Amino acid sequence: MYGAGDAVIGINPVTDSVETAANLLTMLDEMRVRLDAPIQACVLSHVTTTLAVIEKGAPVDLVFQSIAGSEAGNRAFGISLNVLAEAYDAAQALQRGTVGGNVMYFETGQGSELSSRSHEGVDQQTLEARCYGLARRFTPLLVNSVVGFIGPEYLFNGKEITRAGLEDHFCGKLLGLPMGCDICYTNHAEADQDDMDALLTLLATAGCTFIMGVPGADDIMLNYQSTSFHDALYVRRLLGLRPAPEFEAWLAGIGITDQTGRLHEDAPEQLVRALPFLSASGS
Amino acid sequence: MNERAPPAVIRQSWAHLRALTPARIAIGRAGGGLPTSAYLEFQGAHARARDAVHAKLDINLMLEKIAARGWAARNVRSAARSREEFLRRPDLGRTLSAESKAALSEPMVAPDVVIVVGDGLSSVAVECNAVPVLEYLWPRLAAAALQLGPIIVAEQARVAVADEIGELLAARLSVMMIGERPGLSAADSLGMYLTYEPRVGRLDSERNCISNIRAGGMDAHAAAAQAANLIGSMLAHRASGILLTSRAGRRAQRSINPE
Repeated sequence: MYGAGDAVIGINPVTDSVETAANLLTMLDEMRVRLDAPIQACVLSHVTTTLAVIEKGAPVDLVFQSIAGSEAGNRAFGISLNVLAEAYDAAQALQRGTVGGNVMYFETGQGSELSSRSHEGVDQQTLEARCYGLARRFTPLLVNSVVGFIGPEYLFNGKEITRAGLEDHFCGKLLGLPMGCDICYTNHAEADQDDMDALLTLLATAGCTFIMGVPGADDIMLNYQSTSFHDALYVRRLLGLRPAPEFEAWLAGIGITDQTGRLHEDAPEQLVRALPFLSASGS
Repeated sequence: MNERAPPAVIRQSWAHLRALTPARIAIGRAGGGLPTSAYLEFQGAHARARDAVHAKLDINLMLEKIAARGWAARNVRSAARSREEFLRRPDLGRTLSAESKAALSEPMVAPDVVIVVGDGLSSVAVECNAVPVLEYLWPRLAAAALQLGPIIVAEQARVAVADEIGELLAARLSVMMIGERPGLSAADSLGMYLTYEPRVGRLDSERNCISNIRAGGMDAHAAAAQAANLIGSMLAHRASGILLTSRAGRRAQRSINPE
């Protein structure tokens, strides 16, 4: 509706169940086919859930998993190299990619090893960079640092979140990854939406690969704030950035944007009519 | 000038779908930006959430409310000396202050259940919801002939401080009622963490949790009923958390999930 979604359209469900994930993926895939949209979808489940979902025959475009920078940290996430490799192979076997074969979507964030007491005395930025080494092995489509989600015990205020966001972007890009950022903060951190505007502008200027769009920047499931679809429009316009080419062409074709890439005043009727149908089939 | 000037704020034809979700969908736009009303609503919600995090729990009021119902109560503090230190150092919030530790070390009859009310990350949640839940829970536990310890009201508390409290009192089971991290849509959400044989060093996987207790979420009566069932099951199976699930099987698993 706001021209977002060229990287992935994701759903983070409250419960991590195979049935829920399979139903949501089927709904998203129906939407993709119905609208003939060049997109990929993802339900953010644990990798073992996604493996079961693939076995059930549901349409999995991307395998999601949070990863850590130490073996013990990954154990705390309930994963190992073997499980990731198994999921990678299973997703590749579906052969759903049309443009490329990148099927992994990883999330990271400084401090997770400290949080799960698996840091081995190593500082949180080094451990974060080790995540990228792990991610690289699986040629991911997306690597996302959920920078401020961890809370003030690890990144206390807007300044620390900003610094960590830039550090993560730098380290990820140095390792050749498609590095994006969930520019975010929790309500017990000393940060606000102005800090997010500033970090968004810095990261976009530095060539960040993607950012998150959450309605009104408010993640009502995980109770934290991120960036909105409006923020993405702002930064595209500010820096003359454009969506992925095939997605940009689709946006214009279906009537979300005009020939100059600006949003039409209202979304195309075809899309609005499709919405109730989608919510009905998903329930 | 044939062209119609676009309206300053563009409203959206799918705005009726807002009725289906508390999410900030279809909030309109002014150019590519947020309309002023949506911006102000967001700022207001963030301020409420911040207030909930930083507001000090009114200990005296809480103790009075408990005393008025005829229940015994004690108050304790964690080792975190200020709100800022509490936010920065979760380890201190999980430990009692030396003074409180000494106070709880005095001889006392070991209770079956110790209930701890902790401010956590939202004192507003505790002030709104703790006593309403207790009003249903306390009589049910008393009717089950369980030995109940004094209600411990804990300042600057994290969930795991209940482990130390439970250890000092030699309680069989602890119930921690604590303010959850506020979101923009709900700053008054209470969580309950139940731990069998609360002792320092318990893992989160050894607890059961009931969350989102608030007006508009899980109501006090349902939360108390669920907690009472869990307590019964924990005492019968001598376990909580993952171990309870494996001992009690799928029946217990269902009662753990709020829905």
